[in-house]
Amino acid sequence: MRLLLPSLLFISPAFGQANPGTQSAQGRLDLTIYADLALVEDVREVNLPKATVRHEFADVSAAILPETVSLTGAAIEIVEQNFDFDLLSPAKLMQKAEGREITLIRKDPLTDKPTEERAKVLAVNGGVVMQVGSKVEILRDDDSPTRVIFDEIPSNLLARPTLSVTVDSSQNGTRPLTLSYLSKGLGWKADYVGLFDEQKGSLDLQGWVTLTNNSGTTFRDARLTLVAGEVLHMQKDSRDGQFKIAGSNTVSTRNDDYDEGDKAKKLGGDLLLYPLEGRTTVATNQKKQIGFLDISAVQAERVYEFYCRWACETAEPVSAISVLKFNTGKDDGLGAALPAGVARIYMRDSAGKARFVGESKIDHVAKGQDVSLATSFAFDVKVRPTIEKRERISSDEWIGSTRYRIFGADKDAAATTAMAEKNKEYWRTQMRFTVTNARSQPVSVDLRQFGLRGWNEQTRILSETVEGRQNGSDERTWLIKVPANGRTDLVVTYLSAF
Amino acid sequence: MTVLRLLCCCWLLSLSIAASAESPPFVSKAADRTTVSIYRDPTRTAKDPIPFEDDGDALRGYAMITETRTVDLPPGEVVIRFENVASGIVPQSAILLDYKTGEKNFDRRLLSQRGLLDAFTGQKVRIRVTDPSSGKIQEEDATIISQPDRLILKTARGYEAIKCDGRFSAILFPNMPVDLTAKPTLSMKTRRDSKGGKMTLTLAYLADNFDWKADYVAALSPDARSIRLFGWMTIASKDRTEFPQTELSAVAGEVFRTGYEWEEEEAADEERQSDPYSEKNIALRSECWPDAPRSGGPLFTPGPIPSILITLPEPFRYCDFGEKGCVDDRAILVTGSRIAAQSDVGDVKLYSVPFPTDVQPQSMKQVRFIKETPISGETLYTLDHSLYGDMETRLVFRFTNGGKNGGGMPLPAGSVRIFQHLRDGNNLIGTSHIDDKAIGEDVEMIINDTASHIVKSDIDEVSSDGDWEENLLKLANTNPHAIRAEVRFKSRGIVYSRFSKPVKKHRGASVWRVEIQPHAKAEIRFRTTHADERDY
Repeated sequence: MRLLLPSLLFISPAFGQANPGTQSAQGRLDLTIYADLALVEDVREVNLPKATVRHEFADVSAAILPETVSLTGAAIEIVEQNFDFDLLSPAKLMQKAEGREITLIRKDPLTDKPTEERAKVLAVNGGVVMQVGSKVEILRDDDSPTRVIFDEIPSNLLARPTLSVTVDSSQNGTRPLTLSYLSKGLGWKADYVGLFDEQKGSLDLQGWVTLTNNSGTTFRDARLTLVAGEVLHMQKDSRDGQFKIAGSNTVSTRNDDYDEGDKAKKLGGDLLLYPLEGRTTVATNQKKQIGFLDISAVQAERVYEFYCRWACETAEPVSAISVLKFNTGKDDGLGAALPAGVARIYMRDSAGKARFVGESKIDHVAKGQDVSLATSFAFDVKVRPTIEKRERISSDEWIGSTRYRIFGADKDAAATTAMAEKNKEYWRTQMRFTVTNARSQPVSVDLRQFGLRGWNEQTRILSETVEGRQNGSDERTWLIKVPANGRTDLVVTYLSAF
Repeated sequence: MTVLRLLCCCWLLSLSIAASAESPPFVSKAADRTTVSIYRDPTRTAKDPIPFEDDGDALRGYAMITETRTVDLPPGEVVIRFENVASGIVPQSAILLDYKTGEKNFDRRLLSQRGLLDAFTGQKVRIRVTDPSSGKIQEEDATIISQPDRLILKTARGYEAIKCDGRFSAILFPNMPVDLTAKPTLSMKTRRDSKGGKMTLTLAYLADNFDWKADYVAALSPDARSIRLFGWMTIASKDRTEFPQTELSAVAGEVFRTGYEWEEEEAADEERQSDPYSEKNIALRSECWPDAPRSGGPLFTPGPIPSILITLPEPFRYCDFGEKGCVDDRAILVTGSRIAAQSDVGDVKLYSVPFPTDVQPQSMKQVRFIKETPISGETLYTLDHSLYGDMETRLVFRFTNGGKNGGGMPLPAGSVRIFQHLRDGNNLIGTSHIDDKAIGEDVEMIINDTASHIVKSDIDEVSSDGDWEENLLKLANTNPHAIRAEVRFKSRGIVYSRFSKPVKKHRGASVWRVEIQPHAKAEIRFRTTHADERDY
């Protein structure tokens, strides 16, 4: 019986000469896209008479922030602007038909002939009450199809997001009007793809801008400028209709003085502008990626790092972190600032096939800065830190070891401090870091121990089997060279007040 | 219903001939060759199984897929559409290796009721109405004037909400929109200066919803002094795309993927919620005026969706070691030569299946990746001295991976099942797991971690003096055979001294090793001093 269920089918019998895609009312578009917000500038040729007229701007973003709208153009003055329309729907159409007449086409149950009647909609409150002839009826589901035909669509019911503006036009004729507003639902991120060649020590890097558009509106042939930086507080300056960012510089979608040598233009505090070449359509429900960086053979190297927080003893050996390092300076061939994003690194295997070896976040990087991408734990390079000795020492021994004190202020000051704290407990700790390498090449591991509190507590290092380097008063680093298929031990003895 | 089904099938078939007169995209239907490298779920521990049976849950590992596709492109700017990529594709990871493109798009608009209505908004369609009693068909022109969820059409008579009128009606679309496809589709635009012509492109991308796991089988020799170790890799795909005759590999080691920050997670979630083409939202909502005939009813009865073949894996069966050339037809066919080959890539290990194989949608597969290897080591009981509470006795098999002991291959993290052939046949004597182990590392497999009743320990305080305590530890072997036991003395805040038996220093601990005869005892005295340790 379900076959008789009144239903609506979509049939698409012909293929070939498609012409879908609706005509858009949009004009020349400039989009300035922030992380999760966009400034839309839409220049439309509008013919206005010399009068006070209402003009409708269809196809604005459905995620428009109406309070940010501004309209500028020659010989016009804005009276008011509205974005308070209702989107056209069957329920809204019926509601707005209250007090109006509609046409009903029904079937006579006896003769099976269609009958056509005019009816007046009296009320739509949880059901449609209407007057048909002299009777009052309720339009309801009684299993008999009832075709309802509306004569017209009220002007404030619109199929597409539309902004209506009433303007005083002091001239006749067509002129460009610039509509600008902020819209949610648009955003961008940077994504990088790197192909690392270990033999050559070089990295090929591609940068892509990933645009997302969930605004419900497609922007056709738009010129794009991307803005990188902290979340903005946009304020509209009522006098000149421009948007200001956190009270600093004015954002303009034009970039007249943009430095050719650097793709990104610095804007005020921490903001960078990336104008993209050409025009592109940003369709709704689409992720679009546009290439913005494509550089071959940036000098790069792989290094190993291991982080240890003070007495970081582990039961099992722990893998070192494999880190890819390169510099954005001009010498190495990159010479570009990089917006923050995710970098995916590929390497070729022994058969020359590209394999994914890890993904890492890049922060905003200025030109000439070092970039470190931690890509994976190293399967074959491991460190096992163990505490070999830990014993209390006397205050005398502590004072006697002043000459080993390697961080903190000058000698005398430390001695004085130690004397003054006679009742404190002091400790001698011996740690062994066993670094193993199962690779068939030698490796170097940058072992970094932090939490040494050299400044506050005058931690001393009595001995170390590999000479370390102090990196601030809290951190010491050792570069441990490990032969192929071998191991190197670092033994360090500390005197500390903890 | 039959009619509905037929019509739906038509659509699916029609995909292949969709084309546009304006800027025809070049459609690449399928790859000539593919490689699939699978990466483990980094959050799943070595002992946990792949959560394949949990219907709703996606697998949290992933795959890197490369596809070699032959294209014949016209010169200049042209959109290449890549069909039949993995359904779990991470679109922003996609690249063409060795080919420069200008733009990539990932379209979520799908061939669907919603997609068609969206595409034809503002355009002319035909309405076909069938009279349910007479079967008479009438057609008329109409223009779609509102959005899919709130459908209003303009007809010759006026404005109508045809899905609210209770008639049996269908919308006929004049053609197929070129940009609607059955699945989210990746496309790339060539550069304006592209020369075109016939060429081979290599598309590489990451795809979610894959996972793999190492499963070891260790056969302990009757004298418990060696094992024969071999390993399977179990590879799982919950993707909807099939990769036939692919070059399959698995990657061992921990490769980093960036997690989402809280805000990003939130934004991604919002995006899914508001995406009209998401699985949850794609069906049209029926919106009519109150009490309208059929309001709330389906606009359209969903047609038959090509059923997805689900190949559920059979329970994994381990062969008995007594069986020669053991083949279990319910598991995976393995012959000695068909063992995945290991190589290095970056700082991780690659295991390549040496023959082309099918990766079916929603399936698991097992391939040997460690050939049976004899490794000598020792079986012993281990205990850790504890000042508080009882000491647990564990039975372990310990070996050094490589050197004169045998072994000497990287061992990716996975679970281990330990068997021993005893008089009454082959027995599963323990289930353990190992972490990623490189060549040369010490590996310990726990056979039994509740062996306290087999090798009993008893500790007594003999004497004490404020600062220190003199302890006596006794071990009793209840086995009918001699055993080796090892006690490790290392506790935070305790200094051990005056051991009555020789101890060795190992990894910062004092270790006492002892052989105990059948039903015999061994004892050691030692002194503990509390160091009043501060936290370090």
